[in-house]
Amino acid sequence: MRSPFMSERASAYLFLAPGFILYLLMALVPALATLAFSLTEVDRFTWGISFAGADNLLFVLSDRRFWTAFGNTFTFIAMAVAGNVGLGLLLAVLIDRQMPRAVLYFLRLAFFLPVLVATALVSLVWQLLYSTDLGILNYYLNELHLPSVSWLTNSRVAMVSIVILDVWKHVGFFMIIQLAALQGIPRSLVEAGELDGAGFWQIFRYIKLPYILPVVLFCVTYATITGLQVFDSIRILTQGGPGDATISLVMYMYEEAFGAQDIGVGSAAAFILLAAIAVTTLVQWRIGRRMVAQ
Amino acid sequence: MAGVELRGIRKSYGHLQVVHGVDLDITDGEFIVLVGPSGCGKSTLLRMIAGLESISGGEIRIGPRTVNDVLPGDRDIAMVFQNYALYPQMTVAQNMGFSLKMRRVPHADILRQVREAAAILGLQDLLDRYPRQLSGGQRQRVAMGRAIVRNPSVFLFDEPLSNLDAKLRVQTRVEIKALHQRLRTTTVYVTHDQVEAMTMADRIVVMHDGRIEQVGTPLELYDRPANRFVAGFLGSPAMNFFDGGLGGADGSRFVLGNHAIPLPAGAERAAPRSVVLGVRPEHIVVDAQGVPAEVVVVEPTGSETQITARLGGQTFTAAMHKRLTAPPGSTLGFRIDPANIHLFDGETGARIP
Ligand SMILES: Nc1ncnc2c1ncn2[C@@H]1O[C@H](COP(=O)(O)OP(=O)(O)OP(=O)(O)O)[C@@H](O)[C@H]1O
Ligand SMILES: [Mg+2]
Repeated sequence: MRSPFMSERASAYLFLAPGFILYLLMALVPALATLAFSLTEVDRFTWGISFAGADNLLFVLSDRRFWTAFGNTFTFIAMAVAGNVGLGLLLAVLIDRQMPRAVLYFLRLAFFLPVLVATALVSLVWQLLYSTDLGILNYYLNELHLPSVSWLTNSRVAMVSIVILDVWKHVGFFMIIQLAALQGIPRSLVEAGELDGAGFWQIFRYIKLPYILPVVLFCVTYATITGLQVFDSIRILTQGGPGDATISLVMYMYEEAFGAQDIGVGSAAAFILLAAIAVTTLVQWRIGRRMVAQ
Repeated sequence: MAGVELRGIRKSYGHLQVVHGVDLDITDGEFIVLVGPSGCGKSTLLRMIAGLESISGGEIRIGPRTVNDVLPGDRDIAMVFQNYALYPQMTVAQNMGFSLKMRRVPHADILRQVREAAAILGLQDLLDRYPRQLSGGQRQRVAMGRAIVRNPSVFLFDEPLSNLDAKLRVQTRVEIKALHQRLRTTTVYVTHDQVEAMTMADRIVVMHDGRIEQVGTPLELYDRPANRFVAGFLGSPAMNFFDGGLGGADGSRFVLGNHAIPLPAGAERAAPRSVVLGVRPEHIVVDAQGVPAEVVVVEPTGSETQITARLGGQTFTAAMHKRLTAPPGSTLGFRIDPANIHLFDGETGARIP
């Protein structure tokens, strides 16, 4: 039926407009502005703007602190992705069974609740838990006659502490997604496996895991992209310390842009981050496609 | 190879009982077809034999052992699912060899057994394909290949042909039967297609509402159905039923309106007052001297002619091998062959001998 007021095409644009305008204002314009800023130098007293070409980019690439942040971020990603996706899958496998509906809902909610709470809030609480002298973690370690751990002040441990928080907060999300995938496996496939004599582990290894592999790979990519953007938790727990032991790419960018107030350098770092995300996603997508095709 | 014994098998889902005490002896090498209307519990019974569904009561024996608590993989059975349930990430060869791999059969033996099974079913050229690269008929064949490769004692089929087109269904039906004649493996085959049941079975088990109505060879069931349900379920077009009463001084006639059909001697003694007369369409013939009835429609199917007609407010179908035309509304004479009638109790539906 034809609309009496406007053409179908016009109404389609109208319905798309709110989303598109938001995207324009919040994503596309800032991204283009960042690109522009990265090519300029802003005098922070006079607000005079001059063209800087590739200077900012070259500065970032030759900054040792940037490479520290780069290495930290990928260390974080390696651990956080393994923790989030791996533990999420393990939990999903444990929950994917016959159980009373109420128990299932309770477990899903319990694991998913941390996902809904703001990271900043969670980080403040964990800061208390991690406190070397007053924290509850060390209290229990001491109860077990184990030595205290300097959760946030030992440069070897600090990153692990951040990963633990990250996994605690996000694992529920990855559990829910992978649980949904597991529950989408046709029942007859599993039954055929049982009839073929496969045990629980073999059914998982040969039937379920290959079936949900695309979803697992999606989780890996998603966790990687969010991992590249890790910021709030580090800023609250360690401020990038001790030393620069936990500084991340976004923190570096933030500190350059708003700490040192060098918008040009911060923007250049942001662009490198964008490139890193694009490359990682592309590589994982390629690898994933090859694995799934098998 | 082994027989299967079912003793008082029951199944309940919560308070809902769907299988009410099934007893059945399947002898070694027999081809048994479970048939019945949708929801009568065929699949449930088959899945209980497979071990995919727990049993709420009774005992299942496969060969010499009771398997109530034996895992599906240890029952020495293979099943072909309605949707085939092929593992999508494995090739045809891997699908077929999976059960052997799970049993730690050496790789070389797996290869050999898969090739042998593939040769039986003509799957040699498809071994490296994935299920998504196969047609429906080929998938069905692979599912059978997966079942025969490990040489189980019992095959279970749950409506394996229902996803195939009509022509392929007939062809595959013949192949399954031939395969059974070659392998002689005990087979339990579920279908709701009575043609499959009649053509394939050594014995048919007719189920209705979670109970067995009758067990017997196809012709036994066709010629002497134990009750009205079995009579109406097997045969196409279905058997005609006439509600009526017994007449004559000795109750030796079936009275329908103002017509009477003589009954075979002996029937009247056991007959209660309300009876149902059953006649298969092929046992009603057109005869000018017969009872006149109004023609509703004449349907030529090529090999035979089916006539639907009305008599005393009841419609019935007659089928014959000669060609005939009659306009709707016209009157034809029909005669029922008294040697081929079935009488059923009007209340219980049980056969009156
Ligand atoms: N998981 C279940 N929970 C509750 N009721 C069930 C369940 N599975 C089956 N039933 C019921 O059990 C009865 C028998 O089902 P079953 O699948 O065995 O029928 P069927 O004879 O195979 O029918 P069809 O020809 O449609 O496949 C049905 O009434 C069905 O509703
Ligand atoms: Mg069924």
